[in-house]
Order: sequence, then structure tokens, then C-alpha cells
Amino acid sequence: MKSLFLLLFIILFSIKSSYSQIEPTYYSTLSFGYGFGSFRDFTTSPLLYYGFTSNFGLERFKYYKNKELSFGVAFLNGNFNHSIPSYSSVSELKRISFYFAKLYPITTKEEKKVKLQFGGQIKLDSNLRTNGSFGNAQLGIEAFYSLMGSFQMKTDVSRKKLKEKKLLFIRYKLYPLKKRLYWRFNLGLLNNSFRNPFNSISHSGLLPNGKILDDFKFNLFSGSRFSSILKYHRFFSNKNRIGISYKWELWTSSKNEYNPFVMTQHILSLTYLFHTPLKNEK
Amino acid sequence: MKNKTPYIILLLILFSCEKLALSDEFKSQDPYVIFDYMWQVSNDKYAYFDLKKIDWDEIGVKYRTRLHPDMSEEELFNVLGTMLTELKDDHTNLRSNFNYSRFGVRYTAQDNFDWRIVVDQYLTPNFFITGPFRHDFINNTKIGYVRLSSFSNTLNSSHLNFIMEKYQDANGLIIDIRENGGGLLSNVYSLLERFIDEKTKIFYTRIKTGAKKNDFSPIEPVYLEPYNGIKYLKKVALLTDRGSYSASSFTALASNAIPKLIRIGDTTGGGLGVPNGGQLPNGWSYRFSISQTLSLDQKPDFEMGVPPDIFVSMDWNNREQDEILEKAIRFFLN
Repeated sequence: MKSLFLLLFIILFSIKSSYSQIEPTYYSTLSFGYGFGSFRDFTTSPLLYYGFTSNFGLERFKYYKNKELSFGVAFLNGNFNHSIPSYSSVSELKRISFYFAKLYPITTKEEKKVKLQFGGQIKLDSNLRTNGSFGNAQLGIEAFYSLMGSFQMKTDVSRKKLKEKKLLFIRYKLYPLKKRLYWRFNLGLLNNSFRNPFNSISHSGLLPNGKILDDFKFNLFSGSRFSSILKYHRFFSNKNRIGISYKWELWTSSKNEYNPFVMTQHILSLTYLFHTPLKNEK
Repeated sequence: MKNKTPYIILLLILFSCEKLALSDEFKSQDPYVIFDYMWQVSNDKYAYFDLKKIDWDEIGVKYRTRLHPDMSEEELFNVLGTMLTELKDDHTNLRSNFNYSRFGVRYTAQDNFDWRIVVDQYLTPNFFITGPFRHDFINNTKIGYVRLSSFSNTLNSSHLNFIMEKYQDANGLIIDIRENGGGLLSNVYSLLERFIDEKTKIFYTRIKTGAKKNDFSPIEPVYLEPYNGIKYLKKVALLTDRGSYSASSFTALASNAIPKLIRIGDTTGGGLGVPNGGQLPNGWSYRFSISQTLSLDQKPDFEMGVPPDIFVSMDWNNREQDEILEKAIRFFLN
């Protein structure tokens, strides 16, 4: 079954659809956001740690008529604590994430109000956590990398005609505006992790010239991974866009590991998409 | 709005998925839950059950009978803390807001150090303080005396350079790590690399990698490279006592591989397992040893303490003399 998923992905990322010949629109984006997350790492604690995070992301989009290609990098920073106030224990989390995604249309009919797309993405997330209250075990490092299947719904919610409204005694006009709504769901098909599944102290820590992460193990085809993102884009006359998005992600390592890890993240972001045409693009 | 409804419904469904995957069900104030968690994690990770001939199952049964549902936090702490002291290991501790459990190995033997005697009888009033080191010439500038009371702060190479240069022409150097409870293992290497002139195998290590009693990583030799700079290659006396614990015991064990280093005093406290920290379901934290350090013949026995080459005890009837320090001075003069 896993091999089948792998094969599907190889096909997905290697095919060139007819849409590739239509000139694409390029965007470079800048995102800032705030969020809330929680995690539990049994290596050091059975308690859930909760915390607020700040986020920053850079992405590059290539929109064809029905196809999308994107890649990006995101940084997250936050402090987490468990819910027993008398034993405060702060875990500082820093995360860097990379992704590359492709989406293709399920149907190409223009008259469809809601357009459906499918595709996939490769995603890598690396966490660096420090919690001074754990002494020698204060450093927590893990990486999750997945091949994910993606499904996206997008719909045009543009205001096409001028509307005149009245709120109490105030009259106002709503001018035509191009707007779009997206919802994407990503499901981890091949989930892998890289972490020390038993201790948070590595053997290398005992050696004068130990190799860092030497006790870490690649755990292939294990755990689960979901993410979902709801995006609202508003277009400007110069093709730039501004967007608001809400993203939710969930990572779990394999339940068979001695010390499983689970993490979830909610992020509300403000994004500016700069239309960055190539030389031959209008 | 009609277009947006399915998006909102899908988001709500996903929120429900998160609740299924992530709930705080392991948080607990139940003494039985807390006890069982502590017992199990120790059972799976502690590295010295076999060496110390500890039947952890039996100990678990013995202490679990002391629990009752209405016990206070202090009562529960006493049960857990006392159970952990059965490991006879000062790297095994339980910490709450109101207490810190410990074994106290240094109090199982005679006290063999009083800094005031050293200051009053052997050092000049203006002895040097270089970083964590207290030092000066003793015995009419023939011998260097260096006191290191802790390995906790990183040993700075400039501090060590100053000391190595200062005592380069002395007949001998005394490193006093009595009642030094340990600190950073890297400091052991930083200190000892000053006393070797070739790559030296100092001990072996292995770490627990699984829950079974014999789930250890492969045994790995630990090699020390000589410092690329000023060193001291004459005889060095290392003063130890039962309070020389953890990093101090590592230093004493490594000295077996460095013939120029002679241990004088009492057996060290041991503590050759590196402690791993964690948290219990009620927020208390714990730590215990999850690695073994093996001697050059690959035995873990020195966890119980590294004996001196020359055994000497303090005579507390004479508070004007440090018998261990006197022995080290005589060792160099002879």
C-alpha cells in the first residue's frame, strides 16, 4: 500500500499537464502570523505543553489557470508551558519548515462555481526545543518529513456589481471586487520522523568529540500528519493580493515508539502576495 | 455566505480530530498513577540495577503498599523519594516545590575536607582566584596547589593556561577535588587533556536505548586528545574523598589511564551514570542515571566509587593539619 502511495507521488510530481503551456502568474508572498499550539513529548513529560507562537513565512507561488505550484519556508517561535501553575516549566520552541506543493484540477469545466483540485506536497518540519527544568535533558530536537496528499476547493466570491447599502442612516457603496476563498486539506501518506525515541540525552553527549544526534533514528512510514488551511484573498488592481489565512496542523510520531510525540498548531496569518511577473509575462 | 458554509463545516470537523489526538489525559494527582509512572520509567531507564543487585519489582511492591487515596503531597513525596534512595545514587532525585530527595553518599563515609584548614595552614592570605580555581604555591614555592570545588562552570582555557604556566617549574601539582560534587563532563576532558602528551583511552561508556534491562548501546571507548598548547606533564596528585562525585569521579576514573596522576585520599562517591531528567503526571520532576561508564577492563564497578592509590583519612583531633594534603606534599618531596 505504501509503495502504491509512493508510486502515485512519483507520477504526480513528474507529469506535465497541458496547463503547463499556459503562461503562469507568479507571486512572492510574505506572511506574518500569531498562533496557538500544544505538544507532548513523552521522552521528558507526560504533560501537554501549551503556548502562543509568532510566525513568519516566505513563499513563491506559480498559478496556472487551474494548476498551482508553490514552495516556501516558514519560521515559528514560541514559549510553551503545561497546565500545572505551581510547577511552571517553560519550553522554548523554534521551528523551521520547508514545503513544495503541486495541485491539479479534478475538473476543468469553467462554469463550476467551486473548483476542486488534487495534488500533493513534500513537507519538512524541524523543531528545536529547550526546557531548562529538565537538566541534562533540556534539549529536544525532532524532524518530521512527509509526502502528503492534498485536496483543495476554491471558489470565486467576487463582488461583480456595484452595491448600495445602508447601515442605520449611513449610506455606502460596495464597489466590484475580486475575491477568492480556498480550503485545502493535506493528509500525510508517507510520514517519517527523525528523533531519539528513547532518551533526550544522546550518547555523543558523553564523549569529548561526540557526533551530535548520533542516537537519533529515522523512523520511516510511521505516525500521522494532517493539515488544513482556509485562505481568503482579495485582489488589487495591480494583481497584487492580500490574504488572511487560518492554518491547522497535527503531527504524531508512531504510537509504537517508547516515547511518542504529538504536536498541534493553529496559526492565523496576514499575507501579502506580490505579483512578480517574469520578463515575458504581462 | 452559501459558498462559505462547507468550508466552515470542514474546519469544525478537523477541530474535533485534534481533540481525539491530543488531550491532557495523562495529567494526574492520583498517588497511584504518579507512583506507577515513576516506578515504570525508572524500571525502563535506570542503568545500574544489575550492578547494585536491586530487585526493582520487589521495591515497587514494598512502596506501593504505603500509598492510600487520601494521602497528602508530602506523604506521597516521602514514599517516592524514599523508594528512589533505594537506588543508592545521588544522580537520582525527585524534586517538588517543597522538597528535593537525595541519597547523600558523601555522608556515608568520614568527612575528609575542611577548606578553612587549607586556607589557614597552607595558603597565603592573597592566594590566587582564577575563574573557578583557588590556587597558590605551597611548601616554600615548590609545589602548586589548585582547588576546584565544582565542575559546573565551563573551564576557560585562559584560566587553565595561566595555572599551567604558573606551576610549570614546580616539583609537583596538587589538584584538590574533595567535596567537588561534579558538573559538566566536558570540563573533565578540558582539565585532563592538560596532563597527557598522547591520545589516551580513558574509559568506556554505554547508554540505555530500550526498556529491557540489557538494552544498551554498543560499548564505546572514550579517547582524550592532548591539549594543543601549554600542558603540565610532571606528576600530579589528585585529592579525592567520598564527596568527590559525578564529574569528579569521572576525573578519578580517567586518572587510571594517566600514570602521572596519583589519587590520594578516600574513595570517591561514584556517580558515573549520566542523569536524565523528566517530569511526573503531577508536575514534579525527577532524574536518574541512564548511562554506564566502564573502566578500561569494561566493568561498571566504579559506579560505587573510585578508590585512591594512597588511602589517607583526616584526623579531626588535629585541626591544624590536612593529613591528605600533607601526604601529597610528602609524595612530591620523596
